[in-house]
Amino acid sequence: MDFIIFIVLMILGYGFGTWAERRHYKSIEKREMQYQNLPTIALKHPLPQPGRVVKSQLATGNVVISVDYFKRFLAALRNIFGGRVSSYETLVDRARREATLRMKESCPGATKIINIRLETASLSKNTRKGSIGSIEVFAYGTAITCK
Amino acid sequence: MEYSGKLPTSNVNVSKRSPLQELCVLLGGLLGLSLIFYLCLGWAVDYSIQHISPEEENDLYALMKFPASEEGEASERTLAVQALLQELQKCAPLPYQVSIDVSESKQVNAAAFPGGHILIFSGLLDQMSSENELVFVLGHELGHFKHRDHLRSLGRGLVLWVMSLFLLGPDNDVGNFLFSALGVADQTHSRQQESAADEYALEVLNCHYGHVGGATRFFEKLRDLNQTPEILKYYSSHPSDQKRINDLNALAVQKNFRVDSVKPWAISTKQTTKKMGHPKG
Repeated sequence: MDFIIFIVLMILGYGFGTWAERRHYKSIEKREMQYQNLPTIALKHPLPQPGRVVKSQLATGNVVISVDYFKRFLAALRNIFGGRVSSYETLVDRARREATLRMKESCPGATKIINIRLETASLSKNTRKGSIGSIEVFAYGTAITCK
Repeated sequence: MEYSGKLPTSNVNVSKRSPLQELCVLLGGLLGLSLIFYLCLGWAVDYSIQHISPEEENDLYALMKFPASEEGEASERTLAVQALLQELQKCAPLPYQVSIDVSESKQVNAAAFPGGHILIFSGLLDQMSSENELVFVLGHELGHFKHRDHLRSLGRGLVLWVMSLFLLGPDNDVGNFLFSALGVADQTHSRQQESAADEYALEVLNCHYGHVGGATRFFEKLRDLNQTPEILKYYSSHPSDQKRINDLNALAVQKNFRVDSVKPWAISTKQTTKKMGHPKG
C-alpha cells in the first residue's frame, strides 16, 4: 500500500512539478523581455550619467518556491551518491529570477536599480515527513529615477 | 555609452540532463547495491540460524514482549487447544517448550513467535468445523518452528531495518521506498516457507489421526470467502488458497495418505479476513 502511495506521489510530483516549472519559466522569460531596459547594477554608486537623480527609493522583491515530491526524492538519492543536485538547480534559478523581476516590478518608472543584493533562505530545513521544503529569495536594491 | 538591454540566449545555471534519466540511474544503482547487500546478509541469517540452539533463542528473545491472551482464567476453549497441542507434540518432536495462547480477536490468523510461543486468534477458532482442521493449523505453526522460519523472518526484517537506518536515517522517503521494494522481493521466499510448513502439517495430521481428512477444508473455506485478484498475488506473503489445496492433495496422493471422516469441533459462522501464517519482521 505504501508503495502504491509512493508511486502516485512521484507521478503527481513529476507531472505537476514539470507543468508548473514550464509555466513559470515562460512567464519569467516574457517579463524579463519586458523589463530588459531597466538595468540592475551591483555597484554602490551610480555611474556618471546625463541628467540628475530626482528620486531614489528602496526596491524589494521576494519569492518563496516549494520543491515537489519528485525533486525532493531525487535530491535525497543524490545525498547518497554525491554530485550536483541538478533537481534543485531549476528551483534556485527560478526563485532568483522571479525575485529580481518582482523587485523591478515594485518600482515602475525607475531608470535603474543600483546596489542590488540577493538574500536566500531555506524555509523548514528539516524536510522530514509532513513538513515542506522551500526556498526563499529576497532581492533588494536602490531604484533611482533620473530626469 | 548608451545602455541597451540584452538577455542571455541560454541558461547556464540549469543542467540539461533529464531528471527522469537521473532518477533511473540513481535508483537502479541504489536498488542493485541494496539487493546484493540484503541477499548476502539474508544468506548469513539463514546460515547462522542453524547454529542457534533453542536455549540461545530463548535467551535472545527473553526481553521481547509477545502478545498474550487477556489476563484471568483461561477459557475452556483455550484449555482444549492447549491439550490438543500437547498431544500433537508426540507427532512433532521439537526442541521447544511450545506454548499456545488464544487472543480474542476477529482476525482469522495464527502466528509463531520465537521461544516456542504460538498465538492463535479466536476468529480462526470460530472458523474450525472439525478438530482435524485445527490440528492442521497447529501443525502448520509447528512446521514454522521446525524450519525455524520465525527466526528467519525476524532476522531478515532486522537486516532490512538496520540497513535502512544506517544508510538513510529513520523515517526517510528513500528508506521507506527501499523497505517496500525489498519486502515485495522477499515474499517469494516467504511463500516457499509457507508451503514447507503446510507439508509438515500434513505429516503431523497423518501421524495424529492415521489419515489426512480435513486437511484442505480450512483453505477451501478461505478460498470461498476471499477472492484475491490475480495481480495482487505477487504482493502476497502466502501462496493462494487454491494452490495450497492442490499441493496438499498432490502430496497426500504421493505419500499414500488415507482420507477419512473428520472429528467434530465447535462450529461458528463468523466472517474471515486473513490467512494463517507467521509474523513478518
